[in-house]
Amino acid sequence: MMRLSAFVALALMLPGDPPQPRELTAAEQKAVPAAAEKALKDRDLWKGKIYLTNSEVVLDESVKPPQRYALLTFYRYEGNLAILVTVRLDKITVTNVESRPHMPTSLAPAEIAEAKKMAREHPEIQKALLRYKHLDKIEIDTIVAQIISPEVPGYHHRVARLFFRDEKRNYLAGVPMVDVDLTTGEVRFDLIRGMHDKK
Amino acid sequence: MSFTRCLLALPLIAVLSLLTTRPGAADRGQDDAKPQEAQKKGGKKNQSNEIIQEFPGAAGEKTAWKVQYQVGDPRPGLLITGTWFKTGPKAEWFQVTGEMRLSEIFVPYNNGTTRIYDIGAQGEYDLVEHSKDDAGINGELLHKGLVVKEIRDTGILWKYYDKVRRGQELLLWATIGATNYNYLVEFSFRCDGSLSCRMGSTGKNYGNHETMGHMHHGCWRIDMNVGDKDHNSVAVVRRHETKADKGKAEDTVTYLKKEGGVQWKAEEFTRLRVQSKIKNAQDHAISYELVPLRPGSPRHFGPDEEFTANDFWVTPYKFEELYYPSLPIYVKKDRSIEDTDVVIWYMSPAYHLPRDEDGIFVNGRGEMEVRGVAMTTWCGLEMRPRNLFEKSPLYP
Repeated sequence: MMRLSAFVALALMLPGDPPQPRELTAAEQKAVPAAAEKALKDRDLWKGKIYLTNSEVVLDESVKPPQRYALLTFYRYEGNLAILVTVRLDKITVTNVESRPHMPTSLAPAEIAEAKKMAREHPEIQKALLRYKHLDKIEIDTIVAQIISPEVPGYHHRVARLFFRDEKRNYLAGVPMVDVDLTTGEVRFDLIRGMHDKK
Repeated sequence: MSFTRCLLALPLIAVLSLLTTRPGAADRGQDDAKPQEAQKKGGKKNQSNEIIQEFPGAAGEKTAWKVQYQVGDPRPGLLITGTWFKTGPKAEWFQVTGEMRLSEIFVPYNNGTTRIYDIGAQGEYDLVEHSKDDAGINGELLHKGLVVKEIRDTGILWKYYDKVRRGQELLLWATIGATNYNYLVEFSFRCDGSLSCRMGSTGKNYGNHETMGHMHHGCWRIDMNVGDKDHNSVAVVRRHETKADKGKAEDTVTYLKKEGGVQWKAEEFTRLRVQSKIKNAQDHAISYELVPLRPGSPRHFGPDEEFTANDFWVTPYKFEELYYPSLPIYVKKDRSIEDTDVVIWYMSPAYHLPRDEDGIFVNGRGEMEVRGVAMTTWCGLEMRPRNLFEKSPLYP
């Protein structure tokens, strides 16, 4: 199941303007992910939960005139796999597909939304947030937790680490840091509490 | 700003007003020019631009940089897409680089388990929209504040008794808002043809790690196009002095044949030289040298951290090879880097050992809180021209 990344921009071009070389045109925004998806299916890489996490238009300056390519990064839950797809834009053809197990990849907007929802709905978080009911708004910062140690829960899983803060970007000390394991659906708290150095 | 500080700033303002920024034909530095602004949240707008910056000197001594850049929010951030330099008003533009980018920010913590990749594995990050407070009195906001352009005085460029010249530089910088941290990504272009790339780490210490030592490594990718981009070669320059030499020292220049990594050694003043086939009027080959700015040499041994085994890497240009942690994979191809378009990669390290100036304290409930912001820790590199000029730059 693919979620199109919100990072793929809508090009706001005036009619008749040539595309900025480093942007996808409106037509390319539809065609490029579709071509990439087909390429992954043809290679039997399109399995289970998979997200487009980044796309970038680059120029191949080794040819004249420079050739435009889109570099797409997918994350596949099965295998904790990054899949890199190169698409040549003048012909919308896939020129390269590479798989990189455990390579760092960004969270897609849908993953961030899912992690936040899971965290906010957890009873322990709701209890912790009661202390801050005086705040008009509580926001959540999200980063990717790369769990590299087999002894730590979430190893080679897709883990979003969340921090709760107010609108002025002060982190709420009474709310635990949350690891949302998007691979298993678990919510864990303060895994590393007590591990930091004592001053 | 106090009245006194205003008075002190007047001479600087007067000098800086002599510096001219001539918009290139493609310059769209003003917010009311094309292209149109895109949605901010949830969308990415890549905006390309060109700046031509002249630096005044004595008659006939003006130098200039032409810098093309692109900004995309949040990725790929601020990229420099090409740079050219002029040694004098009648000189031709001399290309120095193609694309320069901060490829990764690697942040390993001393607990051995927390590893953050702030470019390749972003959460909900954005480029920060700057204000006039960011730009300062000599700065200008571009692209709705995503990029700050400044002209700065760099201090004494050269001096000989009563003869003196202060230096200036053009800076372009942006800020990656990485939740608790802000990363300042800065490119500067100096009047003497040198340039620098720097990353500044500032913000609030990471939750539950507030007092834990950690690194902030800026991992840079620089497509060198010195003169003729398809005819560059790379050498490692080292200085050797041993006890047996009894005070004598020698320099060695070793040209690299195949792609791979090189370690920096403090006692050798290791630098990387990218040389063109073009020669100056003194018949000396023109090159640029990467000179590290570093407080130490980090080596990390977590899984897939072999990219930290070397401080410099060199590969032949390949448009889709953009990711620093993938270098051990790239160089397995064992390609030639002789007389070709080369890319140099450099990891600029910084170590943050938390201190009270970071604003950490224990509140009345025994919980660690951050009251304040960690001061900026900088890391980076310089690229210096070698034999680009046949005499001293900006010297009458």
